[in-house]
Amino acid sequence: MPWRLLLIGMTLTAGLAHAAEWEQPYPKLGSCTKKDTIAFFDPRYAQCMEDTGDEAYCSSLYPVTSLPFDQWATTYHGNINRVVEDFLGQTEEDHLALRRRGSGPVSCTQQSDRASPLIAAIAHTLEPWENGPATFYQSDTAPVLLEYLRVYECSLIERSLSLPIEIWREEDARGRLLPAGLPGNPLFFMNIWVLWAGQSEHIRREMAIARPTLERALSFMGTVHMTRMLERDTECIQRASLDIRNAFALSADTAACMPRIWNAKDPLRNTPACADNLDNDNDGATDLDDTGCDSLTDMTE
Amino acid sequence: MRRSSFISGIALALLLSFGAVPADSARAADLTLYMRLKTISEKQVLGDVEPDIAAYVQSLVQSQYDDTLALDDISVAARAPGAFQGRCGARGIQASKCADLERQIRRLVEREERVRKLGRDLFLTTGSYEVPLSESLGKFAAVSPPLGSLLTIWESGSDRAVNPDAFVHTTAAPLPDPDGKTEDAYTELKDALDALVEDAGGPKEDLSELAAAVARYRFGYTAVRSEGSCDAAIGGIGELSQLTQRWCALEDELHDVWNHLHASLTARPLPPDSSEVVFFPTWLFKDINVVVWATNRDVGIEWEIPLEPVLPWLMDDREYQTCMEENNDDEAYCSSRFPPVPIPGGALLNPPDPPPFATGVCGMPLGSRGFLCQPIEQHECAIALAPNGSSNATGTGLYLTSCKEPILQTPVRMSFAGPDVCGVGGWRMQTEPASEPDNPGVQTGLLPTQCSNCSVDIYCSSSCPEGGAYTDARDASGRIGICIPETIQGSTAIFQTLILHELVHAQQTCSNPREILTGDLNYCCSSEYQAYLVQCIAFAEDGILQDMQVTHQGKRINVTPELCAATLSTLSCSSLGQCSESPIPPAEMKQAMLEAVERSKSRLNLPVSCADAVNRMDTRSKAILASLPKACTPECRSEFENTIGNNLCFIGQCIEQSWEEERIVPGRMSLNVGDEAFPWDSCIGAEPAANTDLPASSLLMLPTLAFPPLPDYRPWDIANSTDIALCQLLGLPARTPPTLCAAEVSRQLSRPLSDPLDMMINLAASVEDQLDPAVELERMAPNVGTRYATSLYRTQLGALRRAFAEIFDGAAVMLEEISKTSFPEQACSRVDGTCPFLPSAP
Repeated sequence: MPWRLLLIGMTLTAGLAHAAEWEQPYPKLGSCTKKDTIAFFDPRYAQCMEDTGDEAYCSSLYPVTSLPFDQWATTYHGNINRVVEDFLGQTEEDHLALRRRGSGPVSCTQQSDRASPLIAAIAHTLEPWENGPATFYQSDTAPVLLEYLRVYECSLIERSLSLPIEIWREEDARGRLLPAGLPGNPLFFMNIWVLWAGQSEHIRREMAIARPTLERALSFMGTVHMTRMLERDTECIQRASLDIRNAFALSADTAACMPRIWNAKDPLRNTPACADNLDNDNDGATDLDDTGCDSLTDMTE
Repeated sequence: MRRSSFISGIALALLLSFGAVPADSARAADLTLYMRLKTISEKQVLGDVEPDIAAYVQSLVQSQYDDTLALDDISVAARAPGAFQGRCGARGIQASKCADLERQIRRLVEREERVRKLGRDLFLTTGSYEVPLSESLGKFAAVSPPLGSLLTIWESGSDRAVNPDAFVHTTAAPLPDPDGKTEDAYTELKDALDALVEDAGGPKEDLSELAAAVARYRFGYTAVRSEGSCDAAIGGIGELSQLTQRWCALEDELHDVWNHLHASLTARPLPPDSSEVVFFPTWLFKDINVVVWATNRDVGIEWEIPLEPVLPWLMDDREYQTCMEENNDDEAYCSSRFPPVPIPGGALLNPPDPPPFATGVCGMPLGSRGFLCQPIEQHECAIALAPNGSSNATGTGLYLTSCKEPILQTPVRMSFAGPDVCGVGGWRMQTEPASEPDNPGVQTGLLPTQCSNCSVDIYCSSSCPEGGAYTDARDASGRIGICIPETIQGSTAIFQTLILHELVHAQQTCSNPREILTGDLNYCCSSEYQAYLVQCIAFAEDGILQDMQVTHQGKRINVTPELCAATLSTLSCSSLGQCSESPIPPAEMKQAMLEAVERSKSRLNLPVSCADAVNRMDTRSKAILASLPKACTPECRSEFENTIGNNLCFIGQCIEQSWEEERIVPGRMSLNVGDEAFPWDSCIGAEPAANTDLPASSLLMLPTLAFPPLPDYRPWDIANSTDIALCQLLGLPARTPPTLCAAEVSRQLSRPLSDPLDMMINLAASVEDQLDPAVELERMAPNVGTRYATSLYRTQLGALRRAFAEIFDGAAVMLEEISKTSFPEQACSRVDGTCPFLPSAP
């Protein structure tokens, strides 16, 4: 079918000409790799493998496929949105503005609060944290989200480079799901052109908004994080101050005895030489036995 | 299941859960910070022309070209020029004119969008820095209230009396009856706010009116209300006129909320005093991104997340809106009769006037204490404003603060036997009342109790010594008379603080001869300065100092407690000389003080006579009277608020009393503390039973109480930081302007990539970078700003935190040493009167 080959050729040519559509004046954090799009694979396969370890079972139940393209943006923005909201915290009641994170008193010994569990889930789909720790802290949030963004952009770029082929493959696979005997979509190419135009516009749009949106959110989160550190320090200083106050209050109670102590000590120190039961002049006689003492109040023996 | 797999399971469930969010949740998600930011990005990058801009351009086209275009046409002209040509032609306009129209519209839209984008970006930049710092009970963090609490834990009563930095007494109160009337009051307020973002067709996209209202009432509604009766029509015409507009219904609702909350405080067992600031929880209207803060003094609205600034006003549509309201939204009639008028731009506006004194953030209870709102202390100036050894800032630029002028050399009081710990001001409660209550008459029988060295008798007389208020010398029975005249230059309101002043003199002479007040110029100045400082701080607390009209070199100056005290102390010591170098004539300062006090007479319910002043004595004066008895005398009771400062006052006075009244070498009481009881005292060897360790005080590291450097406002440095960042990004050394760092295509060509497609893409990217490096700069500016702010915080708080840590260390050392105190078990054996080291006679 030469006309079909011709169309494929035209499609590929147009695809290459369109390939630069993702170019935006934003820096890339690193090169895109083939593993990047794994962040947008159906996570249920990985979960199934982790739970059961039975590849045959999991492959049949959740084939290792990427998420449908139309779910990428929803998943990405939904995850970032959830992380940002977890970071900012929830209002305790609908009508009160103060947002609180976690529960219980602030820890004065821990370096940073724990991050949203979603951060760990995202991080484990990214290459740098593939085998990373189970616990992530608030300070890990920005690096993980930036890497997630890079992977998202890479995934979009990768798809845009072979967009018509990807769409062709997906549509072809979708057509195979039709019951046997039914004819394929008579407007197959028309459909591909429509999808191509739509997805191309969608990629362009996502490339334009994803990075500035996240960077603005991170700027905001950065200052909130900084102020919360300040708030935590203040609360910890307040607790220490209460301890200091109580210690000084005890000292003040003790200090109240000082004049009494001096009063008590003065008579002790005033023991006259003729009443101290000592032989002060080494003449063998003590106190009133000494010839120098006329009375107990005499100061010399 | 292993723990990690369990956690992963939960996390993956979270990851997956976004596939099926219900509609309500989806709507709620749109109200989150991230989604709001995403919407802004979409609008900036991809959206249609904003309605305001479209209407503005449409109106200009009408007036300049006499052609009527639809609002949609403006968007099409800006975004799809080809399509506009078709539309334009369909309206019967010549093709050449259509091309000209399209070009002019596109340029105009680009310019206005650029201004708006810049405004929003700058607002986001500053907002992300400022939003967590709120005076109210928090949104994302609440820093100010804990700081107030910290101050309460540390401060002593004496600090409050003599520290010129006014103490802001803060407390928190719950919302009264949150489900009933409180909710009703806030609901009505919400209705008034909704009216700003809704029209007949429901919610409108344009948030400009709400943004302007938030800017107007951000620092409270009372300052706006004090401008006069509300008239929504007032506002003037101009790009910034929305900043002075008023919304009467909104003001009324804010006032109702305040009334309701304030009324709840009167039901408290102890109603708040005039100096107390009571914070209420901040209310949230999440759907319009607005919070309502409230204190016992004011109520205001703020953005929860500041995303929308007040942008230049493009169309004056007030008459049109009024017409629509009055004519049941008859658009045809109103738009023909009262069409919105474009506000012409193009000319550089004069810079806005600086904000009036004590408005905005400087009108807030805590913010007004910041360095932006007042000149900084004289002893801090050298550190703050002279980084290069110069006391004067030079060059052009914005200066955020200034030194108090003139720089005063204030006298320092030295006592006979070391410092008098908490010797001035009241830090105790009354536990040892005088033998009889004081009255306005002379009471010779008002004698000191066994716990005090003196008693104070305040009496009114028309013939006080020296013609004014006068503190007598302590008589043989210990009574100190304080004579108050019938009036001071016709004023009786001044008596409230005058008694405070004289009571400080009573404190100074309670255990000392009166000569310390008048002995010589130094004695006089130092004693008077202390007394006036307490008085002037009381003025500041009562808002009188801020009202004092004093001019210097033709300009009204901000009178600080120190300037007030230093100037007036000369007045009381004029027979001996001049106390300070204050350029304000003392008599002028006194006159200004008397006038300001008289102006506050009814507001503060000040005394109407001397007898009234004595009978209704101020609480600050009562605290001084309560603090006159000796703290540590056996069988005398002391009671004080449990703060670190007050505890230290008590410990300090006990130590002082011990040294001054008790003799460590027994039975040898000397006349003065420092005197030797016997000529050989000084040659007696070290007490063998004494603790030979170094005294605890030698182990103390005095905290570094240097004022932290004030933050510099250096936009040039920030710009340089940005340049460096941009240049680093492109692998080049720093250059200014940053356009010099634009990516060079030749660099790409000299390092070809192996893949021709990548090479082509990189070259294209380089060209784009070169075409618009400002985009890079703009994108990074918020992050540079954030880092700059972080660095500023670190600089500011680092010094304070170090000082705090050293105070904690010092306190720990002292407490540890106190626990180690050992007393000798045997009596001293120096009773034989011999002196082994008696020097031989010459």
